[in-house]
Amino acid sequence: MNPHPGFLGSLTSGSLWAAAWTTIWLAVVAQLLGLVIGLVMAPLRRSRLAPLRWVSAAYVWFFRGSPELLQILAWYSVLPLVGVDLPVIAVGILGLGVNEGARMTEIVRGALSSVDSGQTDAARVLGLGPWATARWVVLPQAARLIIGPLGNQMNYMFKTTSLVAFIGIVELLRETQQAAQFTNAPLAVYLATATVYLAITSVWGALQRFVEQRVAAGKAAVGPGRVLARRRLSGLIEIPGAHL
Amino acid sequence: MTRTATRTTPDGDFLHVWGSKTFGSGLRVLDDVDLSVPRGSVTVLIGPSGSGKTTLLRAVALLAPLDTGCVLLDGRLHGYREAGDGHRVLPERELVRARLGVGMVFQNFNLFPHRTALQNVMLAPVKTLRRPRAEVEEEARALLRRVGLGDRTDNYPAQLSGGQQQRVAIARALAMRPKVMLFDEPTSALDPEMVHEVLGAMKELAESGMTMLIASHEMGFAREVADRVVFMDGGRIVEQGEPEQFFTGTVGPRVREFLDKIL
Ligand SMILES: Nc1ncnc2c1ncn2[C@@H]1O[C@H](COP(=O)(O)OP(=O)(O)OP(=O)(O)O)[C@@H](O)[C@H]1O
Ligand SMILES: [Mg+2]
Repeated sequence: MNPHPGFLGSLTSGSLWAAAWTTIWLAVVAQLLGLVIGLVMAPLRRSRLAPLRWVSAAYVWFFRGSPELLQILAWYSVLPLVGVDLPVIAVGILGLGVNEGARMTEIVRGALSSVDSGQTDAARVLGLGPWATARWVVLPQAARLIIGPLGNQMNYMFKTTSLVAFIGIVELLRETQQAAQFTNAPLAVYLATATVYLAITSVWGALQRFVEQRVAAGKAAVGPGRVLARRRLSGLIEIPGAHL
Repeated sequence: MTRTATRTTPDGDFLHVWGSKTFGSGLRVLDDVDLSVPRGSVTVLIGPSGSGKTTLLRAVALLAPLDTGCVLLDGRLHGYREAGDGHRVLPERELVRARLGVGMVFQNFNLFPHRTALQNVMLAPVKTLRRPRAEVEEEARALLRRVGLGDRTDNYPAQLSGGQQQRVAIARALAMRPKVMLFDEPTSALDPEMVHEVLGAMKELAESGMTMLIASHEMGFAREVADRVVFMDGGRIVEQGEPEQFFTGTVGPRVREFLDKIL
């Protein structure tokens, strides 16, 4: 290896970009896992069955209340002991995703509870069962409230993936450590890595703004900001009397 | 004969609700109420805030069932089964189906904000009755025309005035072809100039023969449209009679006092 790769040399190294790719897909998969867990755990919290509520509460309490790195190391060392032999990358996804699930549970829970109970009343009177009510009435409204926080969590996740370096997954941080060991100018290597992280989060940020603008555009016509929207529209809409 | 049968007379009791309900801390919100609504008639519920009007309507709609007693609709137990010498509410799974006979319109409209007027009306017939979409759409458009909103089918609730939203809510409930329509203060969240358009739609519905139970303090409407007025206070039905009675003063002092406040 070149002992003086320099900033540009580091930035154009193939192994750095391979590691960047690992970071990206690891983060996306772990975040998706977290989202799925949140979508399952949050409704449990409102279940009529107390034990299900406890499971959900205990899960959030445990995984939000202990250090994420500790959890990842624990998965890594405990799973083989109980006879579960997963590839290390899967252990990384599990560690990140299960931890993220606790935060997503809280986010989804907040979104669900901000959907007015009148909505479920209306759905039930119309004969919609619990699943149909969730699918057609509650979730579409909660989704708008989840999208923003989900985007922020994704941003965190791109950086949090660096924790799996500790169990030997060669993502951006691990790759950087290895490269820095063999150089006399580690600063250039670190700067190159920081640049890659910034590139990832910046592209993500642009994507996020695009999506949020679209959601907001929809919300102006649709969303819970009914009173505001009505005020804005009241000048435009003529009110025809009842044609009865 | 069971108690149920003796309480079901052919034409007097299209909808019959009787019983009690207590909320958490021992507050008796419905205290031995007994109300029947004949087929095709309009009953207006009045009474001070907290007297139990909403609770009674939600019991009939099977949103918050009674503790004791039951609901009878069209000669059959509605959401309840016989248990010993009383009645027990069905489990939630079975209530989902049972709710279909009763339509309800809420004070705050409760339209689905992410769906257009037409989609609000179509949702339940398509998803719960599984009727063909094209047929449901045609019927939904006709219902929206009927409440005077034929040109608003593609508007979202936020793009409609309160009065328009409430009329969509009426169309949405009618799309399920209910046997009875409940209204919980349908005009009290509306600006005054929009009240008449909603009352107009309700009047047309009454004239079409719909059985209606309405919590409302619109006494002008009650006088014109209602067959009966029922006065509730403290979870009890204190007085009931023809609307004229409530205007000509042949009512008890509590009703008098209440009417003096709202008229
Ligand atoms: N879910 C509930 N838990 C506990 N108490 C309740 C609940 N819902 C209603 N109550 C109480 O029951 C009583 C009757 O309420 P209800 O809403 O039926 O009255 P109302 O006649 O509709 O009044 P308003 O005219 O204000 O709408 C009130 O004292 C109310 O506080
Ligand atoms: Mg009420």
